[in-house]
Amino acid sequence: MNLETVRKLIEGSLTPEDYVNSTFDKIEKFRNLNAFTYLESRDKVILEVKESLKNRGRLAGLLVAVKDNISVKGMPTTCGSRMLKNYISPYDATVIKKLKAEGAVILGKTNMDEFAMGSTTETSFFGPVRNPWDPSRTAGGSSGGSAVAVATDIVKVSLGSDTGGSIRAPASFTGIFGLKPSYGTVSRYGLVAYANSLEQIGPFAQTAEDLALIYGLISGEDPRDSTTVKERPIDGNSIDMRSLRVGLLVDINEASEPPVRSKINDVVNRLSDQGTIVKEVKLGLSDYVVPAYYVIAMSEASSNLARYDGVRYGHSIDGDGNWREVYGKTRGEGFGTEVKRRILLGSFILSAGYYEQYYLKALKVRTMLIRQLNSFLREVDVLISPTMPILPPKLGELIDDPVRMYMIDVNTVIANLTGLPALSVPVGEVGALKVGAQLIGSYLSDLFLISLAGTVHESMHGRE
Amino acid sequence: MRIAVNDDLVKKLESLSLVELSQDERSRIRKDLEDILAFFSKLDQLDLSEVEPTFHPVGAGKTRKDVPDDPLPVQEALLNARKIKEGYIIGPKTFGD
Amino acid sequence: MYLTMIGLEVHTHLTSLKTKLFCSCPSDYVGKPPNSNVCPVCLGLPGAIPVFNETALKFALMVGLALGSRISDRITFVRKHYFYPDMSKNYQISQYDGPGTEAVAMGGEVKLRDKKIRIRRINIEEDPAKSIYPTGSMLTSTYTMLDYNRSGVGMLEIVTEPDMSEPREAREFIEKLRSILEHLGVCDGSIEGAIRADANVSVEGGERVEVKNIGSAKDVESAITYEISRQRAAVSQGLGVRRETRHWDSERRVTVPLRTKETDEDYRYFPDPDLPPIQVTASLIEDIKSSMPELPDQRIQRFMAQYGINEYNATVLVMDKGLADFYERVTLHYNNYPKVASLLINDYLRWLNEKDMKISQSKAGPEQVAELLRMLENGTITIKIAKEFLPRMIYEGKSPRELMEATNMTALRDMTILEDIVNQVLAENPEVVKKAKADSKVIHFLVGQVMKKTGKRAEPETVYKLIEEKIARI
Repeated sequence: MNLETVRKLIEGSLTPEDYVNSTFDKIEKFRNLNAFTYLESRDKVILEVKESLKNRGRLAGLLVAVKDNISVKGMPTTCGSRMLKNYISPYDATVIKKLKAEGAVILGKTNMDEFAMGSTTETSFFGPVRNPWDPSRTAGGSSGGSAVAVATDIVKVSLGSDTGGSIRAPASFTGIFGLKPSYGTVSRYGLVAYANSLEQIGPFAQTAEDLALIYGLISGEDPRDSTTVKERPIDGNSIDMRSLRVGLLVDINEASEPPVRSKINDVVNRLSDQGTIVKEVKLGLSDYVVPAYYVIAMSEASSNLARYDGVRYGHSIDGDGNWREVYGKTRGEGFGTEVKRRILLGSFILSAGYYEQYYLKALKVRTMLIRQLNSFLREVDVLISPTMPILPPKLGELIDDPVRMYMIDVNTVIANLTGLPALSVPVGEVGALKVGAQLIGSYLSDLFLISLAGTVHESMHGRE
Repeated sequence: MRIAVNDDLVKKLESLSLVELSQDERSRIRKDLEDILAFFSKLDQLDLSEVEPTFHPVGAGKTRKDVPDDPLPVQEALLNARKIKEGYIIGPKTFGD
Repeated sequence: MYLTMIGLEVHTHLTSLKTKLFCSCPSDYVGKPPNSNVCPVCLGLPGAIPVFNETALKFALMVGLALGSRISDRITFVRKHYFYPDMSKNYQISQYDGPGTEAVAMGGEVKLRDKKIRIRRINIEEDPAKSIYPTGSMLTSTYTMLDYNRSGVGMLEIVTEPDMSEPREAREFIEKLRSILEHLGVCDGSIEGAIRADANVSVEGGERVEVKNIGSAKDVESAITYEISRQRAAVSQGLGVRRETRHWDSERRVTVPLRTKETDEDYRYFPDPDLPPIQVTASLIEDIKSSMPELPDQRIQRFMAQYGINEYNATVLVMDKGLADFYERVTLHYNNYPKVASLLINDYLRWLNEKDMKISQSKAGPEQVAELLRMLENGTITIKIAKEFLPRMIYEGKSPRELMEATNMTALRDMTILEDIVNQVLAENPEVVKKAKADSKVIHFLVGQVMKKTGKRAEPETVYKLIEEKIARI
């Protein structure tokens, strides 16, 4: 399996200059979508592509875009925040090392919700990322920029991160594939932490094959990350649609907007037609999963963001006061509103007297959800639902109502809470707007999921 | 259980988190925090008495061998520090109220 | 009588580790240029995450087993949050007791000479960075200079119950603990800053006061002594003692109030999500138990049995592992073991302490010390000569034979010569002789004169007897 671009570059039917120039043409064309926070210079990129082609790595010469919360040595890692506007990472994340070892060339860093906190890329200090299919709407978040970069064909593949749906949401809203891997299969060393027990780095791609290829290359146990696992994802065997058992998460489906729901029903019907067994399963816990997710996420976030004080790096006020004053003002200036909300709440949840009230309860809900999804996945091979309960919202629609914004994560957070692999596969349009279906599999079934996604995509779009 | 979030609580959280808000921000965020905490209180509806908390989705931790690696070159370590003096990173003073 | 309660929290560096606790930076940070011994993890850079050092685990278990503690069946870590410039993440990775977490070991005890001090818990934690104050004092510096080389170095925190009631016991505790740690091979207590303590002190009628960051066993005794009298004075004046944290000023030898980074802090402990629990298997414990080195109490017993020395001397030797090791090396070359002990404890140590030297810095080897003792035994030199030679052996590395040849200091055994000199001294000091006839203590003055004239080569007892006889006949 090789990316077509790589093949063409190696055989010479595509020159580095043409490749890079056409990429920069597209960047220019879609500048208004605001997908990038940093771009390497054109000349440097051409040189790197040429250099890379001398060694026949599996990604030789391939341009890749990387979400701006993943450390790339020598490039800014802003996390979409004023706090890290000028921070240059002195080291590569493990996933970046792996991509570079295969010859990938990092084109630039992509725009995102500030510190990955958001579902629409509207909390970015650098402005929102717009949906290529309707620029008055969001491209989704928090990995909006990485999704747009692939959706507009600026790059074939990109990296994002997913804490509560941040890869799947923009994949769904922009019409591409996006995978949140099984927890612990991809190293988080170099991923700027938002919520450590919930997040994974994952790939975006235009095809299932490319998704599998990139996932295969970035995954693996990492001695620098104590939360990675030895076990490798189970090989994705060819899927016999007739023996496949699919579980439709009905309550989640019913709670989604009619146009979205009807698209998923189409998918399910198409699968049935092919002989797949479709069972209806009820999550039951859907009222509790979003609060549980945010309690855990905000607690971890308040802790992870404590380090931003302007001393060793980052934004700082020029103040004479003592450390408490200087830190308070620095952080007040450096962080945006949503980040501040989450830090304050996270501190509250972990503070003396409230730990059992919220944090422990949320961890117990997590236990219940793990039991429930695992029991479903003994009856069926995969769970299916809409990736998002809504069509891509207009910019500005949700940003002032935090709870409403949080609720749109209801479909996706269940995978993060449980560590199960989940992806979004594009399954159609409503007008110009894209709809994605979410597939959730058992732990370590990532390759099977991706393979199934490819099949589903084919059924809905015909072979492309 | 609906927690009342008043200005005092917000100020206390600002102090705990060392995030200073303007009075405007404080009023806006105060209401948000109240709404979000009410949203969280949904968890009270579940009977969780027989359930154990899951702290880590991955069960087992790892160790590494006690073998030294090269540290960062000094210029890289200091690359992003705003104020440096004789190789030391300069931080604010630590006394006074 | 006041009921005084003293508890200690001892922080000890695991100096034998080659790397830091959660990253692979070298652990020997002393003397390196600032910020030249850091990596993304210990510098707290965005995206960096910790991985635990397996040897640190082994050391922690060894200490727990040596103190007779109950070992946890899994290692868990928490984040302890507080903001301070020396904290690269503004939280410290540590251990605690709360839902889902526990310290590496709980319980256990340390035996002092006449008391057992109970251990509450032992936990693993990382050290913060080093703060340097441009004016030399935190109270007058308008900024702080930070060196993160030490950030992330591995430490054990050993917390006692408040079982001590005198400052001396606190000093003894630190000395005994240091000896245990050195015998285990996990910490070299002679490295500066390797062992620090916080003392919790309360007197009857007052609340508990914490005195932070005391750097040596002696200072612990001094700080607690000061603090107890300060507190007693306050109580007796009706001022009361309220709960607070103070700082030991080792220059001015007083404790001063400190609004520390940690007062009134809510640490918001929760299990570190980057560090899932690590199993401590029974076989790991067995392995460690079976390869435990000899501990101080065992060594003291062995010294008594093997070398025939008394418990007091055995204890003094063993409390300083370097000294005990040196002792055993000398005994390979000379077998009057109690004499070796006596020399080392009474003289050898004294010369080291004069110049603040560690045993390892002494230039006198075990064979040379044995040689000295042999020369004493066969009368070639006197004890006074031996005491002259010893510091030169230690500071200059000269052997006793070299020194004897260089200085010509041999025991003056020739009685004719000695008698002559004694007669000379008696003749030169007629008044004193008269006084000496009445008061025998005055003879010592005359002995001193003879010693001077013989260049200290005479045996003082022999001289005394001689003078006594002669005076009696006058």
